[in-house]
Amino acid sequence: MINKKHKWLIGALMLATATFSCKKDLLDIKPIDFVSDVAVFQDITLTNQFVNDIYGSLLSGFERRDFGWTEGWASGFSLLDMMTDDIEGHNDLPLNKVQAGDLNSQFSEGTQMWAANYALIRKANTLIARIDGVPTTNTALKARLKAETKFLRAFAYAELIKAFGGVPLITVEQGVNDDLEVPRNTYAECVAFIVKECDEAAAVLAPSYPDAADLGRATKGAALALKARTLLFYASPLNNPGNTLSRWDDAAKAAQQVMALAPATYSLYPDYYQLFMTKTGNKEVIFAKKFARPGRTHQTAWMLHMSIRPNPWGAWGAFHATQNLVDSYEMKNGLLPDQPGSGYDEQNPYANRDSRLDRSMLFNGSQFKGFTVETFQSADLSVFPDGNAAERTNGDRTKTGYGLRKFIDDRYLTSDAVYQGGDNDWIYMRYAEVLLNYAEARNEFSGPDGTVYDALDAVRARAGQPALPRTFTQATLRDKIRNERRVELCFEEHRVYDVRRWKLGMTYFNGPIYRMNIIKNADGTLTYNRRALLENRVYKESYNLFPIPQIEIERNRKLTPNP
Amino acid sequence: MKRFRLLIVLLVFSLALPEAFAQSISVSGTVKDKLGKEIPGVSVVIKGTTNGVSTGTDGKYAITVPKAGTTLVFSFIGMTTQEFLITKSETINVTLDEAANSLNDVVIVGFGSQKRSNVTGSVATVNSKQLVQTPVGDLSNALAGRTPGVITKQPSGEPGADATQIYIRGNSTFGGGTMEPLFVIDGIVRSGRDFGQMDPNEIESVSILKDASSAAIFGVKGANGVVLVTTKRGKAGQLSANYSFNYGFSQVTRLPDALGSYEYAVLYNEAKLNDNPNATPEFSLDRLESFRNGNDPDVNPNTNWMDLVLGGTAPRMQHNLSLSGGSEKTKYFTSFGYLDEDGLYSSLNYRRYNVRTNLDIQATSTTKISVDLSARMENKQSPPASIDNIFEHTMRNPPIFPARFSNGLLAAPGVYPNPLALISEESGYNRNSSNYFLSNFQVVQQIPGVEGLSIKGVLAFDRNFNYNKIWNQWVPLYIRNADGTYTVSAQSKSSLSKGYGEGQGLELQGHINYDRRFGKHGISALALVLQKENQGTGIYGARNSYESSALQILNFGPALNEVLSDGESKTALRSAAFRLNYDFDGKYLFQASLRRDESENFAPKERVGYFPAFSAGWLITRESFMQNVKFVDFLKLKASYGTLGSDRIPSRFGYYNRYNLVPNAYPFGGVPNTGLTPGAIANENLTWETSIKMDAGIEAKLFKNQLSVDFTLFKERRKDILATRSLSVPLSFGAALPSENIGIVENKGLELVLNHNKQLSADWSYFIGGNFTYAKNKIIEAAEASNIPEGKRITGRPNGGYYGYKAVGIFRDAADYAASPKPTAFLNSTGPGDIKYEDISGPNGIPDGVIDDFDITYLGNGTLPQILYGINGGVNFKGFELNFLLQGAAQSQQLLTQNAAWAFHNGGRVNAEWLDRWTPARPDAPLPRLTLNTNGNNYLVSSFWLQNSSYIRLKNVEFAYTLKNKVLTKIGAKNLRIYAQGQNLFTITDLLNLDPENTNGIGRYYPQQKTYTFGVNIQF
Repeated sequence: MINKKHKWLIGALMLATATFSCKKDLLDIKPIDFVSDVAVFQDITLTNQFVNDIYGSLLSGFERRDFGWTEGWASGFSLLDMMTDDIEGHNDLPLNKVQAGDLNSQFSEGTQMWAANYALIRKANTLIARIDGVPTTNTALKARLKAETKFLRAFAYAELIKAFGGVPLITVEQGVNDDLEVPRNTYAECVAFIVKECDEAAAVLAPSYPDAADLGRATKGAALALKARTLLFYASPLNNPGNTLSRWDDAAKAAQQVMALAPATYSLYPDYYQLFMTKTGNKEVIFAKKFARPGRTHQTAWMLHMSIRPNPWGAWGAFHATQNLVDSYEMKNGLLPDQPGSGYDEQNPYANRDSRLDRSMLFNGSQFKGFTVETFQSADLSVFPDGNAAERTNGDRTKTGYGLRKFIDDRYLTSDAVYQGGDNDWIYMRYAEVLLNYAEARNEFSGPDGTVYDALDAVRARAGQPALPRTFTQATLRDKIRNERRVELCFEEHRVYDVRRWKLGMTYFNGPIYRMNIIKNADGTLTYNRRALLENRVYKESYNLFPIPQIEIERNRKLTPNP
Repeated sequence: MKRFRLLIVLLVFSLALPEAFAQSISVSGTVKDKLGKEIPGVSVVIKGTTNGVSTGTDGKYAITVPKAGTTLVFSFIGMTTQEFLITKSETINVTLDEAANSLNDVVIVGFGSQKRSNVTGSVATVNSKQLVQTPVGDLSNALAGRTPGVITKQPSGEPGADATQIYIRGNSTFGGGTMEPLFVIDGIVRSGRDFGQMDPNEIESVSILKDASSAAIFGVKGANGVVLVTTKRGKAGQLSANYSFNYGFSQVTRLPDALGSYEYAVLYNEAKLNDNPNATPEFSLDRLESFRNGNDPDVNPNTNWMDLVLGGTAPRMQHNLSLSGGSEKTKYFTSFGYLDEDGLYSSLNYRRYNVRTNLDIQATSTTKISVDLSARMENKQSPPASIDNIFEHTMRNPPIFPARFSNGLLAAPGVYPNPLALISEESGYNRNSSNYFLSNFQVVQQIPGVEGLSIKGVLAFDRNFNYNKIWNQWVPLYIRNADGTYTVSAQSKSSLSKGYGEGQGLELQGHINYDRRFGKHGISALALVLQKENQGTGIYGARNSYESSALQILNFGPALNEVLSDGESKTALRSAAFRLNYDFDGKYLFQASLRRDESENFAPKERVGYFPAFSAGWLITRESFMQNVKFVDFLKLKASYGTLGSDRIPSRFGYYNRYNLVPNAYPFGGVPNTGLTPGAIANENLTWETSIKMDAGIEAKLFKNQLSVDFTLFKERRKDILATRSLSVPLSFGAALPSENIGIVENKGLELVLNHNKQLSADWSYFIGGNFTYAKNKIIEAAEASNIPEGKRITGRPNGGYYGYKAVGIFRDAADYAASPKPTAFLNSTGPGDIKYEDISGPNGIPDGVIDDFDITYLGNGTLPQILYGINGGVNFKGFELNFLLQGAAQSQQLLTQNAAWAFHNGGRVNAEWLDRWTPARPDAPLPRLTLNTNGNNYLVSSFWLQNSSYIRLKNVEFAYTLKNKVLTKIGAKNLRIYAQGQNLFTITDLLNLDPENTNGIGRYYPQQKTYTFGVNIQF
C-alpha cells in the first residue's frame, strides 16, 4: 500500500529521473539554413547555384570599398579612376592620399582587389576540380558551367595582374595544411595561363545564349575579349620593355577574333548614355557585372552624384571630374580645344563639344532631372546667390565644376529610391574597347592602316565626331588613340591602368589638376576660368604597379614586394 | 485594512501576555538558525554570571535557573545575541539571527547555500537593500561599484536598452567570444536581460561567483563568472504587504559643448583659409555680424542641436506592490511591478510590467513543493530612426542651419537630416513588445530514515514572444527662399517592417543532496543531472514605397521591394555534476567538484568536457591559539583552483562544411538567382574556451567586527580562445578559415574590500567601506602573422588595446616642421600647426625619418578599465539615513573621433575646446590648426585623440527617513519610508565631451543619465 508520503517520494523521483530517460538525440541538432559541401556536388541544381555565387563574387567598379569606412553601405563611391587625372574624389577617400603621392602597401582598394579576386579564384578552383563528379545526364550543362568558371578564374587573374604584375598562380583548391606561402609567378606565366584558359573556355562557350534567362553569362566573345585585352597589356611598354613587336601582333589578332563576331553578336549601341543603362538587346556589352533591383543593387548613383540644390534625392558628391579631362574632349570639328583653329570659346566652353562630354558629365548649364545645373559662384552674394551646385552651396558640392552623368541612373535619384540603390550593370568589356584595343595594337605593330582608322572612326561616329583624316604618323596616331580611349572609356577604370602600362604616369599623374571656376558677375554675366588650380598631384615611376598588400606580405614570406 | 489591524493587535497582545509564577525552574529547548538548522555550541548563560551550558550537536540544551526573573543569554559567534526573561519552567526554542554584516550570512552558491564563513571560493553579494537603493531601469546598473571584481561599463542610457556590460574580473577573451557572465535565477540559467529587467523588489540577494570553485558547478557555462539571483519567498505568519513608489527625472550626464554660429563661422573662415590661402571667406563680415547679433534667426540661426534633442528631462516612475505570508503548510510571495520611463524626446517611451508569485507548499512533513511563476511585458516605443542615425546628425549638424523656423516649420538643415524630424512623432514609430513567461517547479523530498539525504526534481519551462513593427514616414522639411517663401522638401514614401519571434526553453534537473555532521566532521554533497533545450523561431517581412499612410499593414504596400525572411534555432545541453564539501570542526574546509557537459555546438566527438575544481579554507580564529588574540574576531585563509569553460563562442556548427544560401546571388537575364556560397572551412576539432582559474584570499573581521578586510589575488589563464589563422594565412588562400581553439589570454589581479561600521550610540551609527579591483590581461597567443611589425603586434599586450601613431605635440612653426619627420602621405597639406608624430621605427627596425606604418605602436589598454573601485558609506540617526556610493575607474582610454572630437568633420560642428587651437600667434595651443578636411595628417589614429577615460562619479546618494508611529499603526502600516535619491549626480573625468562609460568614440549613442528620484515605501 503506497501511503501519501510515498506518493510524493515517487513523484519527486520520477521528476528527477526524467533527465536520465531523455531522448538520445537531444544533442543531434542539424542546421536548417545551409547545406553541406557533399550535397552541393551531388546535385547539379545546387552546383549551378554555386556557380551563381562565383559570378556574384566578381568585384566591379560599383563595389570598390575604402576600408577606412567600416559601414556596410560604404562601397561604390571610390572608382579606381579617382587615382587618375580624370577625377577628383571626395575629401574623405584614401584615393586622395594616392593622388598626393602616397601609394603604399596599406592601399585599401588594392587589398580589397587582392582578397576579392583570390576568393573568386578559390571558388573557381573548387568548382573546376569537383564538377566532373556531379551526377547528371546533362553533360553539356556541366561542360558549360566548367568553361564559364574557367573564364571567371582567368578574369580574376587578369584583374590581379593588371594591378600587381605577376601574382601567385593558384589553380587547385588549397587545403588548410598545404604550404600556403606560394611565390609569385612571372607576368608572362600569368599571361600564358590566362590566354590558355580563355582559349579553352572560348572553345566550349557559345557566342550568345538562346535563353534570355541566361543573359549575363560568360560567352565565347567574353573569353576572346579578355584574351585580347590581356595580350594588349602584355605588349605595352610597362610589360614589354624590349618592345617585342610580335606581342602587338598577337594582341591585334586576338582583338580581331572578337571583331569577327560582329555584327551578328556585337555592335556599338547607338546612344552613348543609354549604353550604360540598357540591359537587354545591348549588343555592345561583352561582359558585365549584373545588377537587378531590389536584391542586387549598388549605391553608386547617390554616392557619386553631385548635389544640386534643392536636393530632393540625396547625394554624397564623391565624384568631381577634372578640367584636365574636359580639355581632352574634342570640338565637334575633331580638334582639341587647345589646337589652333578649334574654335574653342573660353567664355562658352561647352558649346560645340564632342557629344560624349554632355553624356558623361554635368557642368554649368547642363540639364538634369528638370534642373539647370549651376556651378557658378556669385561675385557678390547680396546680388546673386551661388549656383545650385556651386562650391559654397553645401557639403556635397562640386569641387571642380563637374559632376557625373555617365552611370547615373536618374530614375532612382528620388528621395524614395535613392537609398535602395540602382541596378545598372558595370560593364567590364564592351565592343568599343575591343575596337580601341585593336587600333592601338595594330598601330603599334604596323603603323596606321585602314583597319586602324576604321576601328577608331566607328567609335567616333557613334559620338558624332568626324572621321579621322588619313594623315597620321604612327606616333601622332598613337596620341590620338590614347586620347580616344581616355574620352570613350572615361571613368570605366581603364585610365588608371592605361597610363601605367604606357609608362606615362609622370606625365599625367604628376602635376597640376585644374578645375573650372565660374564667377557670376554683378551684371549677370559669367566669367569662366578653366585653369583654376585645384591641386598638384604627385606620382612616382614605382607606382606603375600597385604595391602588394601589406597584410599579404606579412603572411606570405615568399612574396616579393613590388619596387 | 481592518484585518491587518486585528492581526497586529492580536500579535502584540499575545507577546505581552503575562506569565504565571513558578518556583523550581528548568528551561530546555532547541537553538536553530534561520534556516531551521540546529546550531551546536551555542552558549546559554545566566545573565550576570558565568554559569551556563552549551547546546549539543543536535542544538538542544537544558538548564536550571535559580529563580523567576532570571535572564538567559543565548550567544553564538556571528549571531545576534538573544535574551529571555525566565518566569517559569518552559521550553524555549530559540532561533538565532545572523548578526548584521555577519560572516554567518547564508551565501547563495550554485545549486545551494553556504554559511559565509564556510565559503572557500570567491563570492560577492549585493543585498536587496542596495539593489532597491539604486533606481535604475536595468538591474545590471545596480551592481556597479557595489562589489569588487565586477567591472562595469554602461554604454547607453536609452530607456529599455541601458544595460551595463559586466566583466567579472576583466576581459579574458577576444575574437567575438562573449565575456557576459552567466545569469542564474533561482537555480535556472536565464538570459542577462531576464536578470536586468527584473523588478528589484522581487530579489532577496544577488551573489557573484568569481572563482573556479564557486562557479565550477556551472562547468562549460561558468568561465565568465556567474551572477546568482535568489528571489524573495514567503514566510509563515501574517500577511505582510509592501508598497513602494518612486518618481524621478533624468538628464544627460554630460553633453559636448558646441560652439554657436558666430564662433563657428569665424573658425570656418579660418579653416578655409588654412586649407587654401587664396580662398574667399565662406562667411562675410556682415554675416558674421548677423550671427553675433542674432538678428533674424530664420536667416542667421544659432542652433544648439544637442540641446534641442537632448536638453530636456525625462520623467520616470516605478510602482511595486508585494505581498507575502502564509501558514506552515503554504507560504507565498507575490509581487507586481511597473516601470514607466520616458526618453529625452517625447517619441521614446519604455514600460515594463513584472509579475511574480513564489509559492512553497509543505506537502508532507518531508516533501516540499515550490512553484515560481514570473512574467514580464516590455513595451517600448521609439522613433523609426536608429539611435545611430539620430545621434549622428545631432552630433554633426552645425549651428548655422535652422532647426525650426519662427513660424514653426521644421527646417531642412543643409544636406543632413534634421534630427528633430528624426525624433518627431510624425516620422512614424518603432514599437516593440516583448513578453516573457518564466516558470520553475521544484519538488524536494527528504528521504525518510536517512538523515540529511534529500532529492530534488526541477522543471523549468519558459516561453517568450517578441513583436516589432516599424513604420517610417515622411516629415515635411522646409527651405526658406531668399524672398521669404518656403519650399517643402520632396515627399518620400512610407515603409513598414514587421518582425515576430518566439522562443521556448525547457530545463530538467535532478539533485541528490546529502548534508550531515558526524561530530566534528561536516559533510555536504550534491549530485546533479541537468538537461536543457532551447528553441526559437522568427519571421520578418518588410515593404516600402507606401503611397499612403492610411493602412499601416504589410499587404497594403507594393510587393516590388518586399523582403521576407525567417529563421529558426535550437540549442541543447546535457550535464552532470558532483560536489563535495567537507569540514573538520568548522576549521578546515574543503570543497571538490566535477562537472561533465555535453554541448550540441560541437562535433559529436568533441562534445564532452569535464570541469574539475578544488578549494580549501582555514578558519584560523577557530584555533585555540587565536582565542587570546582579542582584536581578531575572524580570520580565514582560502584558495581555489579549477577549470571552467565558455561555449558562448561565435561559431555555430563550426564543425560542419557548409554552403550558405545567398538570396539574389546573381541576376542573369534580370532575374535574381539563388546562390550557394561556401562558408568558413570546417573545423571538426572545434571546442569551447577553457579557463583555468586560481584564487587565494584572506578574510578578516577585526575590533569587534567593526572592521572587515577581504583581500583576494586571482589569476586566470584562458586558452582555446577561438581565433582564425587568417591573421597568418595569406589572402590568396581565398577562403574564410575555420575558427580554431588557439588563442590564449592571461588575466590577473587583485581585489580588496574594507568595511567599517560603528554604532556610536543608540541613535547614531555609521558605516564606510570601499572595494577595489585591479585586473590586467595579456594576450599570450593570437596566431598573428609572422612578419607583423613589432608596433602592431598584439601578442604580449592587453586584449582590446589601442594602436596608432604616437603624437608628440604640434609643429610649433616652420622650423619645427622642417626639422621633424612627417607622414609622406600628406606632404602637400601639412605644415606648422599640424600634429607631430614620433618616428619610432622603419622597415629595418630603426627610425627612418619618415612617419609611416612602421611607426604605429601600442597606445593603451583600451576602453575597459584595469582599475575599478567603489566607496560607499552612510550615517543613520534615529529614523534618518544618508547613504552614498562613489564609483570610479582608472587605466582606460577612449579614442575620440569624428564629430565627438574633430572640428568640421563631414561638414559638421565645432566643439568649444577648439577655441584653443594653433594659430601662428598661439604656437603652443593644445589643438592643431583648423582645417575643413578631416582626412589628413591630424586625423590619423594617434595618441593625440586618445584620452584618459578614468573617472570618479557619485553613482548614488540617498537621503531617507523612516517613520514609525501610532498614526501609521492606525492606518495599518508598520512603517513608512520616504527618500530622495540621486544617480550619477556628478562625474570627474579628463575625458572631453563624452560620458566616460561610453564605448562609442564617435558619440553616436544615447547618453548616460543622471536621475533624481523621490520615493515612498510603506510596509503593512
